[in-house]
Amino acid sequence: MAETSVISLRNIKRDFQLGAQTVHVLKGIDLDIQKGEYVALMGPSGSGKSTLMNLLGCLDTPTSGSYTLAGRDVSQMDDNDLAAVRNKEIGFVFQTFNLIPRQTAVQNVALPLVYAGRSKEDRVQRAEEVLGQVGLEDRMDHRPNQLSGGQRQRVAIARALVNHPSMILADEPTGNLDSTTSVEIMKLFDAIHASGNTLVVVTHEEEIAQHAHRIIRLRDGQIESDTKNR
Amino acid sequence: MKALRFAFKALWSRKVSSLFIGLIWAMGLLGLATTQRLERGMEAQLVRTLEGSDIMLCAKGSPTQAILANIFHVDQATGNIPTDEAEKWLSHPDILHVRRLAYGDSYRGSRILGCDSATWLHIPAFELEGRWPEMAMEVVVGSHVAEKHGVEIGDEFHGSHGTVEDMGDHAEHHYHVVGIVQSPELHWNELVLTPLESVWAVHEEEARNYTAVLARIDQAMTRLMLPGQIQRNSPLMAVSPAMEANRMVGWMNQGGQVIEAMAWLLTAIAFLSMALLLHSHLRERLPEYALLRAMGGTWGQIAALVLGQNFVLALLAVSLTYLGLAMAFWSQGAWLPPGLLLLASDWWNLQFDLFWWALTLFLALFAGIGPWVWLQKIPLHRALVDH
Ligand SMILES: Nc1ncnc2c1ncn2[C@@H]1O[C@H](COP(=O)(O)OP(=O)(O)OP(=O)(O)O)[C@@H](O)[C@H]1O
Ligand SMILES: [Mg+2]
Repeated sequence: MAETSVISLRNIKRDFQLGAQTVHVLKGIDLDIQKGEYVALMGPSGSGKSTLMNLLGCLDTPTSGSYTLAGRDVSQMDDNDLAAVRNKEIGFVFQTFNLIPRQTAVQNVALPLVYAGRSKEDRVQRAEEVLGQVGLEDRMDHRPNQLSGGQRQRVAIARALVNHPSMILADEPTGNLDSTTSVEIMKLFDAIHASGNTLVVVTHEEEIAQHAHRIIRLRDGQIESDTKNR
Repeated sequence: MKALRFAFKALWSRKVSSLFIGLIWAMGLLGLATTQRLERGMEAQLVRTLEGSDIMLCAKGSPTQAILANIFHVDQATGNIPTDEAEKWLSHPDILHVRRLAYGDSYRGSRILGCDSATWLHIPAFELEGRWPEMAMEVVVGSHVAEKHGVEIGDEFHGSHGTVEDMGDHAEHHYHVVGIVQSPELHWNELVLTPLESVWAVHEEEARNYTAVLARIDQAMTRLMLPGQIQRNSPLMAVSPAMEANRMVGWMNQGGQVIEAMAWLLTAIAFLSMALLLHSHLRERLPEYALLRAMGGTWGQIAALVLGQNFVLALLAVSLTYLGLAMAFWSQGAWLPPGLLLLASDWWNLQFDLFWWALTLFLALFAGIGPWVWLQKIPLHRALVDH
């Protein structure tokens, strides 16, 4: 079982120093996620969802515990090694899209390939291919401010997919979108999952969580429940 | 390459601030580079010009004016001295390499300098076309005068009295051009040289006079004592051009120090502005830099993007500085005293520039350290929060 785990967390703790006070945000998380799973992470505000996602995405490092990602222990890696791991293993989708405003959709999508050291030709070709997959073939050369919110998030999803990551992490991906657009984006996630990707999505909306095949609920920095969905 | 393009674009989005910093910086560098050039260039030139001029005999008056007139040939001479009075002193055994000068007429605004062969043979590194004068009324024309008025060997002309044109022609006396001379020491190219006898022939009614006599003195003691002795015992003024020139250089250096201090101030302002500009740029684009990190950019790659901007600014400042230096060089006739024009070889010496090149690169790097440390300290997951 452990061999096919994309993610394996063992007793992960994350403390924050707030002045003289130590805030224990994650209080010992054990979690395995298998290749091809579609996981929703839920929980009340402040329960530690984003903190956990940051650790999963190697954007932050745990205070203690071990984290194995795609077979490698990443809990002790240095900054530049982590950057390489993020580039190769993880696709990010943010609530605020985080696109570069001065760049076109193609350029934004191709960004991870720049750091993967791919040639310009390769990058453009692959970026156009993925933009086609998310339904933006006619918006390749648009800049973010020329796109709707839903289209921006599609660009961000294309960027997350472009380097064939081991897993895609999305923290409140529909948080800045209206409900119709949210539904479209969730359909896109379903399709992405159907084509074999591993997905972890943070949400506080039940309908969104219902798209996932496994729902993990956090409360107060601990896993409260971990259930199969359908 | 990509980093430089990125840096250029980032600065382009803040054209005004960037240009302002580039200009201030360039003005500072220009101040440093120019004073450095003037000091070196003028010193080198004074040494060359004063070579062999340990004593000058002339009419009493301002020593500075006398030097400018008789060595640099730019100001009005202080007057004339009788030849026999001067010759009395020139027989002193320590006095060598005597050059006698008598200002005569002018030819279309250029001076006709009556002198002996020792004077024209004293012209540094001259190139002579034709030959030197062999008798009265033969002249050798400075290359610039020849060029300006289309004078050629074999031409004849007559001078006007004094250096101002319309003071009456000496139409009956014709000068014959027998040579054209060119020297890297530019003031020689502005003169017309002729034997002393020409000047005396044109002004036959007057007694034979010199305007000045220059000579070398090899004995240090004599060099020190003789001028005072002549001053006390004759109506002549005797000055040591080297000592007077030192005084002039000291005076110029003081001006140079003021410019230099201002130049350093400008450089410091440019440095601070650059650090602030970079810091505010990072603050504004923090989520973007965080995104680049999240997508796999290493610190080295981010550093190239960040510091690249300072290097582009440095490049801008250096380019503007050279532009300024080129303009200063081409227009030096307008802002330097004519006798002190600098040679291209004294002006364009890149070896001297290495100092402020290094300074500029160092400042570009140094101004990036503060903002860079600030950027590195911010946790990635927090920097990613876009507003
Ligand atoms: N850098 C920090 N320093 C101090 N406390 C922090 C820091 N980051 C997060 N916390 C605290 O950790 C707790 C969990 O935060 P987190 O952002 O993970 O919650 P969340 O589950 O994502 O909530 P939400 O649903 O509102 O997004 C909160 O109480 C928060 O105040
Ligand atoms: Mg959150």
